[in-house]
Amino acid sequence: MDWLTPTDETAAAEAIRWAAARREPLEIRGQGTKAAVGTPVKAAFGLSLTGLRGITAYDPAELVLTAAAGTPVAEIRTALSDAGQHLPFEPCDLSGLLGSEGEGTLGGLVSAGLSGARRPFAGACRDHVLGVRGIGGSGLPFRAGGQVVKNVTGFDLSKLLCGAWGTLAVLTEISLKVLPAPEAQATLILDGLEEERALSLLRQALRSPADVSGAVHLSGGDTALRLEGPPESVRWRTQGLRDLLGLPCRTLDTDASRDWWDRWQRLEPLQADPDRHIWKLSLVPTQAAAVARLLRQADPALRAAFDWGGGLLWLATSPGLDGAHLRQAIPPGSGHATLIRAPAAVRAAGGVFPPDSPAVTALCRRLKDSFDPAGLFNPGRMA
Amino acid sequence: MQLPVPDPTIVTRRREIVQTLREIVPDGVIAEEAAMRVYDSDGLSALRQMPLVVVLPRTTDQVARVLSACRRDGVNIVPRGAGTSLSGGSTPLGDAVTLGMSRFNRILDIDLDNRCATVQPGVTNLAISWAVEADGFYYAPDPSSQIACSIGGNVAENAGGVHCLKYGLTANNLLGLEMVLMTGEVIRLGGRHLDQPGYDLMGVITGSEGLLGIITEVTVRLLRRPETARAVLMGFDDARQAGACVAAIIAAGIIPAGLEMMDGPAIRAAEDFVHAGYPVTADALLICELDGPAVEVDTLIARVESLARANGATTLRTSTTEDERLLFWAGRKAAFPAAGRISPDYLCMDGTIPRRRLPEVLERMQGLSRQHGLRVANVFHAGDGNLHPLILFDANRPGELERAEAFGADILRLCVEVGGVLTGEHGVGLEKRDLMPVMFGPEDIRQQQRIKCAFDPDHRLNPGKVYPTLHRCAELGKLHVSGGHLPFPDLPRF
Repeated sequence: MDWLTPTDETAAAEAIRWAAARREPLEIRGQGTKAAVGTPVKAAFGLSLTGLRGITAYDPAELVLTAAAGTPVAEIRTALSDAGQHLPFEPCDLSGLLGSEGEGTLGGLVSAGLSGARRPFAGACRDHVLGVRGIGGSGLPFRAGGQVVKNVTGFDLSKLLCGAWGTLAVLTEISLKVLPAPEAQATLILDGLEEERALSLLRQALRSPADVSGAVHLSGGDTALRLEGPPESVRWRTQGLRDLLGLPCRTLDTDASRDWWDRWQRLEPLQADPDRHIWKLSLVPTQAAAVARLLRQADPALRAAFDWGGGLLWLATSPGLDGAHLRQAIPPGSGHATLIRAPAAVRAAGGVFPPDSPAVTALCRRLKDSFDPAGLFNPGRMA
Repeated sequence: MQLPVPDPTIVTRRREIVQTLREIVPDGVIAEEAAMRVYDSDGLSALRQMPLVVVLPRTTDQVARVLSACRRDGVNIVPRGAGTSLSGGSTPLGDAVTLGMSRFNRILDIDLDNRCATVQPGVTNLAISWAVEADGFYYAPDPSSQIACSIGGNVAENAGGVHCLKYGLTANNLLGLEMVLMTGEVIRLGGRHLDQPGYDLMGVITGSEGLLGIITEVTVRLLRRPETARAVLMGFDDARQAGACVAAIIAAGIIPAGLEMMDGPAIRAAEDFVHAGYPVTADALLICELDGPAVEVDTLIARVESLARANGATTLRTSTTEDERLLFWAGRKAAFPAAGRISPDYLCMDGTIPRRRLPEVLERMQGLSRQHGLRVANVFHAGDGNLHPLILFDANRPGELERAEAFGADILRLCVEVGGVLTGEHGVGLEKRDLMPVMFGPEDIRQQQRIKCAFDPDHRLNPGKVYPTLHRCAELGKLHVSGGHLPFPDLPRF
């Protein structure tokens, strides 16, 4: 593949106009760390955004960070950490699962709409994208949203572009809402709980006043509940939560707790067998255990990890378990499944993203046309 | 602002339009002038217009049939929740059907195990919290009209409130929607689970001000009510010190549940009205509320107090009882009626600025106040930079309303100039429509209008709101390509 590598927005727009004039589809990429997600794109040319790099504005007291789309996520994490702040949505790092190098770029992170363990409590990636600059399929740059934390001016295009996997527009700059990182944290670990019981305990904790910010159960392993805040508050709530659970548990203090959640953020418990397919299921929390149980009947070797108190189910499945069968296990209207890792041939057969109703599918096609009328950007990736 | 002259070709067909609506909703069509009068404006009451006719459907199917009929007959629609919009979002049009959602007033499901509630769009914001209060839960966004405003309207406007720095706007607390498209199709997005697959349609629909479809069901997340809440009241002799104190609180890693500022005129108007014990000689007042477990609140209160002292607070009081906390808030919450006491009329503006520009913006606003010959009082969601200047005027004096509008427009231009936006939570509606080009370039606006075309290609829903000029969708959809030559003659390839 031939790569176009502009170093600023003007050059990126020029590259897109060139492609538009030739009706030449483009694969849109940052560092390509998540290129193995989605239906494989067929394009002779690629547009790389890695040349658009750097944090353009960051005043910690404003809680806003603006950076070029090709800025490495690692660079943003460092800048935030130096100011005692963080990305509240705690994006998960897929590189270990996908065998890629590094966490990729900000544009890639936002295009994939990745969120992590704190998502049910602090909001998703899309909740933290305040504004963007981008280029539509006709090669004209546009901006949407703003660079302040509260804004309702005009349609919120930023949210549409978040999680669109580069199929609507080419992002060139992104403004994020950021927040102070918690001073202290603690994690309660319960060992060896049976799945149904563990999930019921997680829900009980989430209904309590403990203000939990992480609720994970690894099948056959740890059940973890995280508390964050000022040290005095964390200590108090930890005790309250232990009393509420009334079961023997270990408490990880701040450093050990951070290590535990860092490993989870890299999804290490799912990395063991590289041949398995990896699925991500968003579910009504009370139905998660039943979905896993049903799927285990078809795939006894299934490995399951629950996040969001059951609202998110990561599965490592045997290649024999097909997507249609897996999706049938989800009761109608109770969630959806996305294939995150599988060989290209499997992904090329379709079914990576969940199907939707004809009306929604038609609406999404019209939205795609409104940004990219000639279908230049990442054709077929979300098909 | 002038409302458009109703299209006579529609007005002459009024009788048949009313008849069509009666066939769909036999008991829910209001066509008599006296009965329609309550619908002649929303919260932006300076703009009044009788609707062509009002229809109050009861079911999703009726909504779908109304939209299909209007599409077939070429009739426009103005959606309406509780009619509390401050920006003219549901100001009627003389040639359009006002579609009111007030009969969708049932709470359908409360699911505490999954911490969410599913309700019809006409349910009021506060009714959701009331329904789960006994179980210790609540719905977080709290616009000041929450006793009256409907959740469907909250979604349409992406409503905020004083607690949204910590708990987010409507968009951040929404899990699912049912919506009727202009095609008459009913779509469901999200649900009791998080994150919809595919494009984030719910994200773009939230805050779309009734331009994209009619919301018929809403699922929101419920939060556990914090164990305690306490507030610190701080007075400063100089607004710059108050601004510095806000920045210091955030820089110290504290995200308060609420962080509000009032300027001198607002302090005095509020104090005269509710006697909350505000320091009437102060130039600026801060109210900082912390919530959570008592031990956390105590810790953070001590830190906020010390930051207040370091930044020169001349008044510093911390609530020790719930009554006292509510008293601190009483003045702030009564700021609008308090302005109404000292002035026959007022316009409430709603811009957001980067917080560090606050002192400069307040100073330049005083200059504008002198220039336009009108007083202004400021209340301010200081935590997130959302300004609410109240422009005081007398509509009975010829020309004052126009001057107030011009003053307001200048304030919003100033907000954009310093890096902010036209509206933080009230929406664009009619009020700020003509200022959109101040914030957005032509292509920015065209891209937003292309979204409108994907939902409503004939511009039937809420026409004339948000966007200053209507473009035919075919014209917006054209692919403009110039050149066609290969860029970068020395193209790096690898």
